[in-house]
Amino acid sequence: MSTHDEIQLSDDLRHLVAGHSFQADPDALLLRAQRARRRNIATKGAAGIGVLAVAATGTAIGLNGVGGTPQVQDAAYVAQHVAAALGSDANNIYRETDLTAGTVTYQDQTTFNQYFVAGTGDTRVVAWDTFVTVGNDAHSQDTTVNFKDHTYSTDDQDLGPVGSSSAKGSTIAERVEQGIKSGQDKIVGTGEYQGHQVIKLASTSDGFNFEMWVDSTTYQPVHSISTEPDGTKDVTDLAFLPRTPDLVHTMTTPQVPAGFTKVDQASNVGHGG
Amino acid sequence: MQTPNAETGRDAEFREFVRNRGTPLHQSAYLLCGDWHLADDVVQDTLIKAFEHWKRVQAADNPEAYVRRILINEVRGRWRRRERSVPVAEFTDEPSVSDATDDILRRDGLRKALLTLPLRQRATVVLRYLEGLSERETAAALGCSVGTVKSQSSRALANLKSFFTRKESIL
Repeated sequence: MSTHDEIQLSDDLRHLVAGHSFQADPDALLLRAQRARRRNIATKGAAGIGVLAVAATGTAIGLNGVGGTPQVQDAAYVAQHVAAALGSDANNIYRETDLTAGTVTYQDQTTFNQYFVAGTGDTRVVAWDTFVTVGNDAHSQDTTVNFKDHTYSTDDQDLGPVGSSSAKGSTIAERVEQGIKSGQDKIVGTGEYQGHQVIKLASTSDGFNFEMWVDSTTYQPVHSISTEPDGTKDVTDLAFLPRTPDLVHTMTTPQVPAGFTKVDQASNVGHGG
Repeated sequence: MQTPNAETGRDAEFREFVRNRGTPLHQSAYLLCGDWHLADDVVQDTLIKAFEHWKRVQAADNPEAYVRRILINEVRGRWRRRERSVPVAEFTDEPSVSDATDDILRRDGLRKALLTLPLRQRATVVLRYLEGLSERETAAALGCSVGTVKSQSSRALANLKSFFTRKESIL
């Protein structure tokens, strides 16, 4: 390209993006960043469950449908039903059990409240991030409890008048649906996993392999395996739970045991397992 | 441990950075991934990661370049995880071309052509020709040598030109 062409290229690129601005509320973004930093596990959480991407050219596979009627399904059929399953009920609580990192994260897809558990037993860390309205102000109320140190911390941040700030973010369903629109995945088999009859979808790109197992009846993702080029695996169980009052209460009500000491910032690193 | 004042200062700096640099990052992210909504997610995650390492951002010779590098890595990571942009043929978020001027058609073609480039070439084009970075600055943002920027830029421009040449021959 000549210099003239390069100038034209710059001009065209600027026209392509002209008029578009970043709309995120700096306060809401700061809040998310603070939470992420505090947890030190945010990268995994922000990545969500990875993404399912299915192409219409997948391998056809026979499965038993309702009433035992055989159905021949291909990847496009599965993709369509996964999208419908996730889109039909966003009023649920998504649970991600990271079998590699030993963490469990719950996210309310309606309120974006989060409940997080790292490790088990006396070394676990449990945290709640909730959004509440106090008077006319929105508040973020975060609590972290460290069972190894017997410490806990709380953080209440006034976000200002209701409506001026929000915790809006992408739901898991939105992320998965976004991924469904693209990709070259295919059905690689079926099987049983934790009581689910599953359809296994997989893709490989640049040495990365991503596999997602989808319940063959509900079409909700139940398991995923990401494999890096060096063989490192990240294995996750997934569930979309009914938004029951009991579960909402568990998610949003911090349970600090008696005798725990309040500190400025309870540690959340290195206490897993 | 950070003092409350340090925390407040960092928070204020972060807010200011989001206000001042959010839009340029968002626009670059769009050209890198081809979808405004995905670009929004990418930039938000980029800024969150930047906040986690805010001391490093501030200590960097060029804080913007540091964050831009996080952005490109974020796009690269999503690409690897298959969170790819919608296929070129499915772009729907732009107004339809009712008065098909040459400029509009050319830019629409450019947008599609960009998405056919390998990610590093695409990033090179965005950094050099949208953001106006020098070869040295682009190398810093991409984490490669100036020589690599030159070769990537050359290939990218050749590929873009080839795309338009092929299109014209089809038309």
